[in-house]
This record gives sequence, C-alpha cells and structure tokens, in this order.
Amino acid sequence: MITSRSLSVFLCKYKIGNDTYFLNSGKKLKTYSSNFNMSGFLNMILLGLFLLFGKESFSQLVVYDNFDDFEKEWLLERDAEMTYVINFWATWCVPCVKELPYFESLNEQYAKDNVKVVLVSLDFKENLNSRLLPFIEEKGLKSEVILLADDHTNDWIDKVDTSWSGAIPITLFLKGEKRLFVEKQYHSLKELEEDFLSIHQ
Amino acid sequence: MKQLVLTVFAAVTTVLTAFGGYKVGDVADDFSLKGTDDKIHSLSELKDAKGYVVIFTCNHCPYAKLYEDRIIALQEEFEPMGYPIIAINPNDPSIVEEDSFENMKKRAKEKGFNFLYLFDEKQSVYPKYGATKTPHVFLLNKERVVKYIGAIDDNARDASAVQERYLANAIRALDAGKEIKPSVTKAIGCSIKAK
Repeated sequence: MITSRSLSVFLCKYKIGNDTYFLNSGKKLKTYSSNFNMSGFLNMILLGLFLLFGKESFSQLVVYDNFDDFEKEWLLERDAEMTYVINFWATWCVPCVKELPYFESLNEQYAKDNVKVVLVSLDFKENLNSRLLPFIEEKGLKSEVILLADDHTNDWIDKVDTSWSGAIPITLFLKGEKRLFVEKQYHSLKELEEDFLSIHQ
Repeated sequence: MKQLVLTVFAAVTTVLTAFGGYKVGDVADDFSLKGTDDKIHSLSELKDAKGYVVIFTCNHCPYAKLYEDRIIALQEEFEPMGYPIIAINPNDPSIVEEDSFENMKKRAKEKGFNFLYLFDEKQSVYPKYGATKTPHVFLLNKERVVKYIGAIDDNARDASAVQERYLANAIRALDAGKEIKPSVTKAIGCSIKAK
C-alpha cells in the first residue's frame, strides 16, 4: 500500500537536483519538474494514485537552497496575527532531536490558536532521502518541516539573529513586532511554553 | 510580575551569552590539558610558535567530521610556518559517549591526526574562550591575543566548493602583519555538550 509519506520519498528520489518541492496538502503540486522521462512518468502515475487515495493531511516539505527565499517567506512576509515558533534543528543533532517532542506537543496544543510551528532542518540536502524523510516518517512529525540547504552560513546566521553563534538547536518566537531568540535546548514542554507564551499573548 | 521576572531573566541570560568568552583583541589564557598521547600539553610548550590555532572540535559531530581532513591539511600547511593547530574536545562524554578520551585516542589514530588533540575534561577551558560549538576556531598570536574567531572556511558540507578559506587567510594575514578580514565568521555547528 502506498502511504502519502512513502510516495513523497519516492517522488523525492527522482527529483533531487532540481529544486525539489512536494505536494501541498494533498491537493496540488507546488513545483514540479516538467522534463519528461520514465521516472517522471512513473511519478505522475503515482501522483495520480496519490491524488485519488491520498490523505488530506499530507504535510509538505519545501527545500530552500537560498536563505533569502526562506527569510522572505518565514521572517519578513509573515502573517501579523500568527505566532511563529521557528526551530532550527537537524537529524544528526542529539539535543535537537530530544526537544522535538515538546515542539510537537506545542503544535498540537495550539494548532487552532493562530500558531505555526516550523521545524527548519539544517540537514544536508544529499541526506534528504536517506535521513530526513525517513526520520519525519518514523517520528510521525506533524509540525511543518522545511529544509534550509544554503551552505553559505556565514552570510545568513546573523540575519536570523546577530547573537546566534551557529550552534543548534535554536528557536525563534515571532508575532508581529514581538520577537524572542533562544539559543538553548528545551528540557520540558513547560519551559518551551513559558517562552512561547511570553510572545504569544 | 511573573512575566517581568521572566523577561528580566531572559535579558540577563542573553547578555551573559553575548558577553561570555573572548572577543578579537582579548588575551587568551593558556591551559594544561591531557592529549591523546597521554601527556599534558599547554601553549607555552610550543616555543617556536608564532601563533596558535586553537580549534574546539570533537569526534561525534558531523560538522567536526567534515573538517577532520581539512584540519590535517591546515596543520601540514601552517605548522611549519609557526602556526600549530591545537584541537580541544570540550564535550562531556557522559552525554555523548563517542567523545570520550578513549574514543578520542582511537579517532586520532584512525585518522592519523598530525596535531595535538586535547581533552577539556573539566570543561573549564571552552567557557573561558567562549566556544559554543564544534568546530569553533580561535586564532591567537604569539602573545595569545585573539586575532580571529569563527569558521575554518565558508563551506562545511563540500570542501571542493569552498570559496573563502577564512582561517588560512587569517593566518597568512597575521603572519604578514596585515589586517585580518573578516576577523569573525559564523558557521553551523554542534552545540557543546555539558550538563
């Protein structure tokens, strides 16, 4: 049986090299390479199957090769009413992986409350299929995961926050003009929620 | 009130983080740490050095691993010029076992490390320097004045795509008595593991 996630892995497998974008909420494709080839053709068939049988709540995974695109979408052109909890992490980062459940809980708890939890993975792009997507599936992550794959870290770390040393995990809480940057690992949901509420209220 | 306390606490934490550790121009302390050769080492024993390349790094971190070969090459390139590399593992192995002293020895042997690989067992050196991640570089001159802080180069993932060798450029500038530019850079790294 084809699950939505395994399909995404399949789609992804053949699309690396282009900017690989995924299905958006199971309804439409965000970006898709149009070069016809056999694997692409198979993908389209699978895509068709997916659209027929796929789940509604399929989560997307967008790859940002360029920090500026990420910045525009998530830091600059934000919804002013929305509280954003933006966590930078990676599958190889032990403390990051440990604190992920608190972000998942926060996402679940405040989903109907104008809150968006975004998990910005800093995994390497070549590990998208081998590590990141399997990890998301294994952990059953419900929060939105995106991949920021801009190698030129020295050019963009300060744009996230000038006090950021470059170590992960970090979390950015944003609502309108309010902003809180935290460079540490959370050890409980309560601890995370306290920082979150200082911005969310 | 609780809100205010939290805010003040957050502000204090931020300030402490921002001001902890050395900045370019500060004089760095020497240290005595055990190396993978089971001997105690300090900067002062490196009598011929014209400067010191202190790199906080470790075994387990993927970013540290990506730089192992490049650190070996840097030692080959700059140690003869008088700028030896001193690598220090700052991590608590009770958190990441791969960073234990025994595993450091193993790694040094496997990779044929040609530089000192020391263990900050008491975790007393890295906070003084203000290292927060691995790898994290501090270039010191002969008088241990900090001249450069940050990354080794501008592409951790792909050595062949490096455009700017920050550390190499900084060492050459220091050696030539020229201004080091940039003197601070930033890269993603693994947070230093402490309890």
